[in-house]
Amino acid sequence: MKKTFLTFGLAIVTAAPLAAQNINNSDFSSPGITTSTVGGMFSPGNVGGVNTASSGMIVIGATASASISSGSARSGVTGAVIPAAAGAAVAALLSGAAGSVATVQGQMNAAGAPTAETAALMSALAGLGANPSPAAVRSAVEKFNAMIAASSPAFLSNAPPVMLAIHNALVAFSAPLMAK
Amino acid sequence: MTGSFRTLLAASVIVATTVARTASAQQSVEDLRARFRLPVPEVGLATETGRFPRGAPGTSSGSPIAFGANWNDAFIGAGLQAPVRYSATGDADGSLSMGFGLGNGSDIAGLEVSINALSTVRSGVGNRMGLGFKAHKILANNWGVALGVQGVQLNRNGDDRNSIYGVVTKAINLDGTSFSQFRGFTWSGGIGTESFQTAGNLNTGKHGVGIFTSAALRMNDASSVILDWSGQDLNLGVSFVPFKSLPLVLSPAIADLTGASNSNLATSNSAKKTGPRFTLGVGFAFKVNPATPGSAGGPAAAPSMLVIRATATQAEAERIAMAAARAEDERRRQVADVARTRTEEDRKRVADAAITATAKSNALAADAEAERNKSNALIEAARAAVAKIVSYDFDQDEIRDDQKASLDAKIPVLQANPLLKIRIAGHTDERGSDEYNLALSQRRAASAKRYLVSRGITADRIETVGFGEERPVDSGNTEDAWTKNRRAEFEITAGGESLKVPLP
Repeated sequence: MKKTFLTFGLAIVTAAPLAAQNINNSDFSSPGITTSTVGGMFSPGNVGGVNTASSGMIVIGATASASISSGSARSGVTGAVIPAAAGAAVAALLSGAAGSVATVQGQMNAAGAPTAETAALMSALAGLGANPSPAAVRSAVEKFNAMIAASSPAFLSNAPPVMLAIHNALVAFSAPLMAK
Repeated sequence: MTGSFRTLLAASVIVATTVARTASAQQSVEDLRARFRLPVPEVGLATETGRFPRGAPGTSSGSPIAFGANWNDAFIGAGLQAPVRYSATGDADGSLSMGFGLGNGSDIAGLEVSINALSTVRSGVGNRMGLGFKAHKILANNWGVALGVQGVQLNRNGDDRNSIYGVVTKAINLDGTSFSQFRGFTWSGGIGTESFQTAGNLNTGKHGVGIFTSAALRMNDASSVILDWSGQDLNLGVSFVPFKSLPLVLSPAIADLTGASNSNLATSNSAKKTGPRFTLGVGFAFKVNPATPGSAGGPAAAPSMLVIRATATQAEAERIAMAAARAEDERRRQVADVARTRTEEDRKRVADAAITATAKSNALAADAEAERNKSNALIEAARAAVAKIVSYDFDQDEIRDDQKASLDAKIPVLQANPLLKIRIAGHTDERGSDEYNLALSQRRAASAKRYLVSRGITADRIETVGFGEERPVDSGNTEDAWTKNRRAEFEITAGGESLKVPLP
């Protein structure tokens, strides 16, 4: 990397102060001057760079997936042990594995989860572990909260293990964003 | 306390208990939801740049876009073009720039300030200086709008013109679309004065306006392809971020792709026709943390206090991840402990409340039942007092002293129930003629009526009748049977449905 900087630095330093610079507009479209080069850094959403997945977030995603599928993870809400099968199903969902959405969504719906909100949550969670950008995490948290708000007391009182695993995973994903 | 009042009180307590239980149930539901609900992380535009410093490829190649730096954002950059547009010798040209942001485009507005050096080391970095300002605002759905000025010359040796522009930008997330193999698409379009005119107009000294536009397809996290019309040049370029942990952006491009701009210029002056040119932009954007790590933030006290968070490395990210994981484990244990504690406490509290409420309810219900029984007993006693017979001596219709108590017991009941009406039926034993006994029985009923009337009971509430010897209660012909049959019977004929018990 030092070599890269050195090469570029030399190019800048040795660039001749040309006659062209005597108010003949040769410079105005320079990418540096218009800040177009770094413009992507300031773009919102996933289109720009600032909200893209980072290596750190991916590490957290992997940590979360591993912890919920270990078979020894406990729900942060109920304290109940999350069965390894449920954790593995959610981990598969987070990794975007084929069929994982149907598996988790089926278990949620069977337990009485609100259908529409659960479907939206599944969309937000699918592949989140592979691309846990802050915007995507935030979206998933919002979808989760929407599902909770629409849930019946009976469902919340007897939450299925996959939901507890989802809750744990989202807590892990959110932690670094909340700790800033 | 009267029986009716106690009954009402008991009912009120039961209703209150029911309402309290309903409210408690609603509270329990909200508690449940609160336990599951997650805090929504605040994701600012540049949040991740600081903590996880991966850069993003550029979205234009020479023309402005409507997104810009916010407070705590800073950048440095350099530009290189070779050959320069008007060069007769084919030499290269360089520029340097740096800038920072004020405000926040996602709030009220952001202001990006840039300082540009159009000359570099050989002729002096400060020899041709210009300023740029861009007020930018993020709108809904990833739209942005900005108004800016660039080429504000700090000295008269500049190579740029003071140009005003307005630009809009739309960033489109392609996730979930039929183009989901790409990350996103950004389009910008704007209009500006002076420098945004065509090259021909610029070189003929015109002072008009021109349009510019750019489109960038972000191929993946690290790269994008850009097509840009800057006002003079049609540029085709790429932009990429070569390092995951360093927000360094490289944007090489072919400027004036068709050579039309140079051709135009070649006809207006004697400059060499250079054809398409190579340009390179290098940018390094970073977030300046004005506070020491772990603090709540605030304005920077001194440059030495600045922490350039972009220097975080993969190891740092992993350290943060592990710390977050440990913190999460601890939080989870605490939440579980709290949840268990709350569960135990709630269970005990609810159970205690239920026991208390049930005990109170049962006690009150028992009281109410006892009260009802007592009331019923009193009513029956009153009814029995009214119905109690009066006995007579042989061939007599006078009220014996020992029978007056029976009549006296009827008086308070009749007084407490003004609508109560009775009928007194006189009877005799079998001895004597039927006619005689019928008259005797009528006299016995009448004597009982007189006694009651003499104690204040109105006569029209008392009906009398004589049945003679026709309705004996004992059909025997013994003295005992005859004694039983010499009597007056009392029957309620009206107002006995809701008999009131007289006050003691």
